[in-house]
Amino acid sequence: MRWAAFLLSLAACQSPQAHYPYVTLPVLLGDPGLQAAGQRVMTSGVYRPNGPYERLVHGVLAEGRHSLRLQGEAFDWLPPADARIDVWGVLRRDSQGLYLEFHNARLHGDRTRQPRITPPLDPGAEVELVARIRQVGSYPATWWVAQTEDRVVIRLAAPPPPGVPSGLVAIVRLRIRSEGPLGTLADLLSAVPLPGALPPPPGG
Amino acid sequence: MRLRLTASRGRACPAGPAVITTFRIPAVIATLALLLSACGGSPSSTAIRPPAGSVLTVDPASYSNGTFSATASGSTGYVAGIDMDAFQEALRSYSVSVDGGYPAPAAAYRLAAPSPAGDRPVSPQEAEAIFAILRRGLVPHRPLTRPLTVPFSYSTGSQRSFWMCIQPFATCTASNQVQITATAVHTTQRSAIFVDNDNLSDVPLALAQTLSGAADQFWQAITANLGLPQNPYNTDGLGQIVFLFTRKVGQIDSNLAGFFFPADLFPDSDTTQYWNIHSNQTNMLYLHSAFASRVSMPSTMAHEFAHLVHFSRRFFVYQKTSFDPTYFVEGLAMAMEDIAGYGYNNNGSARYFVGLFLQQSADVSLVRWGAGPADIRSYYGAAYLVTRYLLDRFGTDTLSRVINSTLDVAPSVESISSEPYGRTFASIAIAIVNSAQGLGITDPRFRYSTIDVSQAGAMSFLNPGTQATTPMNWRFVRGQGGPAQVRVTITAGTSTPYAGVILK
Repeated sequence: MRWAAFLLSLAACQSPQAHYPYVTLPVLLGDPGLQAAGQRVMTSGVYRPNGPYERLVHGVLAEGRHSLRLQGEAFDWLPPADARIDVWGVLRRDSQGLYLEFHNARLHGDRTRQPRITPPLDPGAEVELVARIRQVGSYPATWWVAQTEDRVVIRLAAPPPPGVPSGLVAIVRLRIRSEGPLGTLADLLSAVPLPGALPPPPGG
Repeated sequence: MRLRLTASRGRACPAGPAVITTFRIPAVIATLALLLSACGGSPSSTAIRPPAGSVLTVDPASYSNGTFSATASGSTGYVAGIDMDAFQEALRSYSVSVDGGYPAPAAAYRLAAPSPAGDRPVSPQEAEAIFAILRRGLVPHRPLTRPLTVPFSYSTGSQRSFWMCIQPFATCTASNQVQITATAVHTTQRSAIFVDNDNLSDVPLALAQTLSGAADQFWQAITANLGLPQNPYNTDGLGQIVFLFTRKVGQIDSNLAGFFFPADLFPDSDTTQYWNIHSNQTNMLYLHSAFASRVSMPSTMAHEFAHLVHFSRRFFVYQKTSFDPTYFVEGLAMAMEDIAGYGYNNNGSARYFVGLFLQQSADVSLVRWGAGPADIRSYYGAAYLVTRYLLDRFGTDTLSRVINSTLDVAPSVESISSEPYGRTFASIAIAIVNSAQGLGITDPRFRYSTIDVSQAGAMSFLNPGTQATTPMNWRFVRGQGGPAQVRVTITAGTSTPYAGVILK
């Protein structure tokens, strides 16, 4: 377990944005050294939701006698109830203790689905991402954002072309204008609906 | 209490069970019972024969071979479909038919293919046990505790300059923002009424006193409901709110009465460098001074103040940097007009906007704000009907619970409602029709408890047939069956919508 903690912390030190270190649920819950808030992690278990949600991931990830609370927003796939899944996200703590803030998941062992890590968003760079595009804000000061699976929010400098609905999960191509304390500002070069995966109906 | 339901296994039960329900018991218990039985594994059911006056919500998983059908005694069928899936950008379609259906239903009505656990009453103990689990709230992030700056405070007679966009925001930059010099005509502990020095005659002292008095009142009402507007320039949320009155608001849009500009809550050094726009570094709102004496001005101020509180709490207290979809943002502000006492039942703008929506609903997509041919105000009417419904059904703290969380709107509402977001929108559609047409449906899931939608005016319906839809676009269809019974059929096409169905 200490070795796992070392590897996890090493991964975090090297590049906190780089990937989600995998750790089994018993190991994760058995070693406080692995449970640092803000730590990205991937783990596995059986998902037991608290309700019939379509946008919300809110329940327990169970592995034998071990369980971890799971909560967050569905991105492009909603884990089925009682399915064994691989899930990735960020460890958080609240008054009820440790939980995993959900980023995304896949059926256990389905390597066709991998975590999507947002690359460095350097000014001037062109990047291709999977993101949910949303119109937000109050009229007339509305604006559009692209939010990635790992919850990076990028403000779009201009609205997308007409016909792109708010909530669309798309493969977007962006040119980064600036990155700073207010977040990232980018030009949207293209947006193609993400094929394949079952999407949660967005709209919100 | 008597519960009848069928539930068939959905694509992701229990996350997305197929649920077709008619309830004879209070909604909360019905919801809980539904969850008790929704994963019973029964086969899908599509030929539903509810009794007269039945109300159904139809989930996408309720369709069998692309069709959903229901028959009941009566003569009129109402169908309100809504496609919640913004995954595809193209126009999609489905079709609705209303006709006389089958021979008269059997006197002893039963739903087709009841689930093993269905069609039985739920004990109060069962209901309470599950209720406790389902309604467990999500724990929010802790609020700001460390002051970042000292709140600004102004006294009457103060002067200062403000940056302002005077053109559509998409093209507003630091280079074309104008500077306005304004005077604080009247100030209180909570408000400072600034007036553009070019428009001082628009807001004389007596009017400024009236407006700041109104501001102090709605400040109390709205902050009591949503929380304090904490942000870097108002860290405890108790600082003055600047209301800047200027006719330059009209240069953006001649009908615009006021707006909130979020950039003002960020350091100017950052906004100029990263967004190429100036910030006033102030908790402030912009109002059209030519409209200052209108009876609607206090409600406009309350509306814009609600935006300020909403953004402050979401962005700065809960670090929800993606903020919220426009339909919810505007709907929340409309609902706060109600809370402040200027709303629908006080002949506020909400009633007028709802009236426009009832006439133009087919052209309103909630996720394409203002993009369709409908009057922009009809979008506000639709958004208001969403948030008003949430308050009426789930409690007056519902919107506060949604924004005082780290979750997006839809999952946050699901955490409160314990049902799929789309089903909530199907229920809202039923509530709209129920109230607009005076159908007398008393189930609290399908009615507004605080407003009478029919007061907003007549409602337009589409005819049965093919429905071309965009995401989150209610299609209100009415058709005649009869004379003894009515059958509604929804046939999925490129869209499989959620739907509310009323057989009357």
